[in-house]
Amino acid sequence: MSDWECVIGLEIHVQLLTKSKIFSASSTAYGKEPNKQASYVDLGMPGTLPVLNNIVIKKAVEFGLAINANITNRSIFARKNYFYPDLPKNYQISQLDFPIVEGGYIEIEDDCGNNKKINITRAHLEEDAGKSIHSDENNCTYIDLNRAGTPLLEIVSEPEMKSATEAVSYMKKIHNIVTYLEISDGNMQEGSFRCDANVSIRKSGEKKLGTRTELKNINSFKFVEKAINYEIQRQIDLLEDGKKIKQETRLYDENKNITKSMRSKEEANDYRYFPDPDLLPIEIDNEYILKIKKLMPDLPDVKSKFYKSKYDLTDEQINIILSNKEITNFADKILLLSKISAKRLINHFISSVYLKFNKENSLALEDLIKPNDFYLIIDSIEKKVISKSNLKEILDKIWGENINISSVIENYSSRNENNLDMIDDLIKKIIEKNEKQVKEYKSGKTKIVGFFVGQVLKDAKGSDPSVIKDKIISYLDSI
Amino acid sequence: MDIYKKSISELSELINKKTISSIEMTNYFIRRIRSFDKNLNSFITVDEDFSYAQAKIADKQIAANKNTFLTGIPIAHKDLFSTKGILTTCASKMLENYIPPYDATVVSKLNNQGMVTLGKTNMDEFAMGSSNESSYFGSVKNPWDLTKVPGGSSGGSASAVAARLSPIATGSDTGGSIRQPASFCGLTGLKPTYGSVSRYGMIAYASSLDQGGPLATSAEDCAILFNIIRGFDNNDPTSNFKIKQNEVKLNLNKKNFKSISIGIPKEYFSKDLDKNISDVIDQSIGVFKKLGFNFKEISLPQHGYTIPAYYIIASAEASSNLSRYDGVKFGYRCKNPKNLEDLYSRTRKEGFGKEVKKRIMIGAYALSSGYYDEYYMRALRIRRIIRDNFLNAFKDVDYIFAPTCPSTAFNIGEKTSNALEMYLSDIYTTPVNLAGLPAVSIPVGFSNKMPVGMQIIGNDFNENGILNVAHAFQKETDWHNKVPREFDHE
Amino acid sequence: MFDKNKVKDVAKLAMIEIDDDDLNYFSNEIIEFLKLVDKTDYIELSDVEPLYHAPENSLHARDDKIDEDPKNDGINSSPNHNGKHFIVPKVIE
Repeated sequence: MSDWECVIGLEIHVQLLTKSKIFSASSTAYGKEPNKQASYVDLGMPGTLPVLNNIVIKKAVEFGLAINANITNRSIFARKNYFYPDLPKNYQISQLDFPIVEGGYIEIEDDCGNNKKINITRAHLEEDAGKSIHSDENNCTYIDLNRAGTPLLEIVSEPEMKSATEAVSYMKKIHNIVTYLEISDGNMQEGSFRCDANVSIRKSGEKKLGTRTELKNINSFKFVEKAINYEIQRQIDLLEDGKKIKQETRLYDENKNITKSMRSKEEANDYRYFPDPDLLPIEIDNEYILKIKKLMPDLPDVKSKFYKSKYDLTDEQINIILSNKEITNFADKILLLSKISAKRLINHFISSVYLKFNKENSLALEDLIKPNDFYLIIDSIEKKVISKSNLKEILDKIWGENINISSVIENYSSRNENNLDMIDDLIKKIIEKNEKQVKEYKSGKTKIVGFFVGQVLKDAKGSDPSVIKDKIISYLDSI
Repeated sequence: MDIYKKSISELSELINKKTISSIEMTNYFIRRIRSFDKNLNSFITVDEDFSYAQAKIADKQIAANKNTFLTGIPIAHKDLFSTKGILTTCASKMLENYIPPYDATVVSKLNNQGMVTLGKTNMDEFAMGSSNESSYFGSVKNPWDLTKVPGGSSGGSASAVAARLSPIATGSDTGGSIRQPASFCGLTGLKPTYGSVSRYGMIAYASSLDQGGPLATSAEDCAILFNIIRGFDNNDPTSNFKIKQNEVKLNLNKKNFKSISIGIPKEYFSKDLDKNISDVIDQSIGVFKKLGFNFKEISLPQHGYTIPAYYIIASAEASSNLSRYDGVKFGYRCKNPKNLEDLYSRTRKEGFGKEVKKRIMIGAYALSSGYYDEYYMRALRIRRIIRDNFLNAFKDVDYIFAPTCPSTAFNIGEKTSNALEMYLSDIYTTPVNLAGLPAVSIPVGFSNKMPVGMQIIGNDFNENGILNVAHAFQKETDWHNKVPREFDHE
Repeated sequence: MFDKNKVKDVAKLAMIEIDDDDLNYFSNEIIEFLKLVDKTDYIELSDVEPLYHAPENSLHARDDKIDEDPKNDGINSSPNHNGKHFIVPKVIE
């Protein structure tokens, strides 16, 4: 390996998070019955025309700003002409000469842990194709055009990654940006985020790029890494055997962990790109760009630094908070309200609300629980008005319900007070029953306290063990 | 009552006063179609049941006083406007059995007015042609002389209205396809400014040039129809929303004629123009001069480059627009395809006619790698020059007059073996499409017993102006009321 | 230079099968047409901006709304379908 160096560039297809398609008003929802989500426009029925969904402009601009790119003031849709059954018009509306986003970069960690800049060539808008289902049995291909016209942003990197792990970190960084900014839902199983990798190798130190192969349509981080590593080794083996690498498109087979040549796409196609005569240029003025910039949240990288310096949160905590924008917004609000240690607060948050939300997030987080309510609960726990063990139950109770939090807390605190009287009695009884263990304690075996705590908890489920422990110690010390 | 001679306004009055019901009027024109169209072949589809159903609804609306100005009045649609439930063939074998599941915006706007669809008119296949001879359903005859072509591509609409088989019809104009047949058939035909009439549902030939519009007997009728079909459409991405356009009002006062200046482009009236035609046009200019209009010679240079530029651009766009006809989603499919490529290439071989295939190939060539700059980009640069020339001229004059065609209607078969000559006959109409401007062709007289048309070209979105000028002429003259003798009876 | 081989290439790009008659016909027709186009060769155009649409309007874009009453029955127009899918001869990948 040391003799060889590999060069990787990625083309990532991001499905934009929109209600309707890029050029029609049909829904983009996944998983509908075949062709039941394909409108006349999507099918390219005679006379139909594409009308651009304006939200895709906003999303592309947001992405451009997030990667410090140049937003093209006048970008142009072009037709890419080729015949294929899942391409209903037999041309794809895409962008060629004037993509909406040009230039830009992101930073990743390279294999040695240093920051490395990866330049992004361009990002352009285009429509997705439908799906072909090949049947050997009936010797035919079935076409489902539901996906046809789904909006995509294709993000093309410079060939600047030097290993499969770098490629994966780049991909993860892009994934993080587009999901965080809600440009895409990033769902890789459903194909909302897929990647083509251009891989070539050359002798270390050489400047000229080697012949590349293109690995098509890989839709998981794990497979990108495996496919690239396989492909690098395949190319090294070929060259070391004195053979040549053929420029071609290859498909990754996840089951066998190999890449194989795609036969039908080998021929160089003349796509006859030309500006789409149905669509006028997208004109974007600086005022619009500034407006979008103002409304855009801080990016994960910026926030991450802020959480570290201001709140001293751990990397793990930060990663969790930044995993989803709803979570981030919620965390930001409780961090502002709370006076306790941020680390403690976020631990409370992650172990309760975050886990619960991840399990059942059908609604917006703040419709399920208000940040202020959560703060009041934690505050009551910290002040020992209620027990930490009450937290889960309280959350279950108020989750998604419109209930006055103060009365719930009060309810629990008086219950706890009643409990405490009961617990005092319980402790007394248990200590009287277990003379042997009391003697052990008195002889210095203080660990035996755990035994008493356990006994008490058997009958006082849900009580705060630390409170019980304190009470037992003080009772033992008093006799 | 000679209903066939009536204008739209007169028909509207007959219906409004309940002198005649919509059913009766519909029946009247359907009978005319039945007795006269055998000789003309101007209709591809006549769906009587559909027409009577519409007429019945119209009569109900009339009875309930819920009618509009156009309720109950029959119309014919060029067979490239999608009509829900009615065959829409584009005069192609490819769409021989295609029934659209939706209405074109133009059609639904007219349906909403309560107009009654008589049928779908013949045309050149996919609107590619200037004589209606490329139709899969056979050529259409000119009512003024059945041995001559009606022009194209809206030849069926022109022939039908000229023979008064329908009071009015829709057409489309990509390189002259409304104005040239209007001129050949003695009609008034309006090609609106690009973007003012929705293209949604109008089956595309060349997207950046196609524009729908009316073919009628007068500027007044064109104005009535244009006022309904124009306007912004959310389903058409090139629909105009930037420039406010008021409805056309034919209220130009005689006193204002003096302040109107009209340009005569010297390049258009060169020796290439048929002497008889230029004489007829000169006479009509005389009428305008008498009315007080001012005339001025102007120049529209590089005029000769229009035809190549037009055919390259239109063919390039068409080559891509027509890719969707592949035997998979709609339309013709070849029998027993061996494999996918066979399905595609044989469906398209068998489904398209020669002219369509030729333009698809010219277009594919002009866009192909290595030829794009030489052909397609150069054509677009010429397009800029053509438009700039017009805009410069409009700094000096309000309107431009031009011949619509270099000749009157030619014989059927005369130019089929010489495509280039056919292309060159679009010399006066194509520049207007390349420039996106509005123009109306009006009948101004006869040459060898065949009608002669003249174009009035206006600046962007000035349909109001050109129709007022045309109307001023038609108030003074009678050319637009002439009916070909064979059809001038009930 | 446009010749019969070029016609074959272009017909392939355009997915139109052509036989020998077609080949003769289209090559003659297109060669004649290109002669006309080539007459424009001598005008200098390099400093002229191409014009894609006239009048030069702005793009009209729509809001991100779903059609409340979608008519997704277009498949019924297909000459070869099974009610669910369009069907084509097997595509070999």
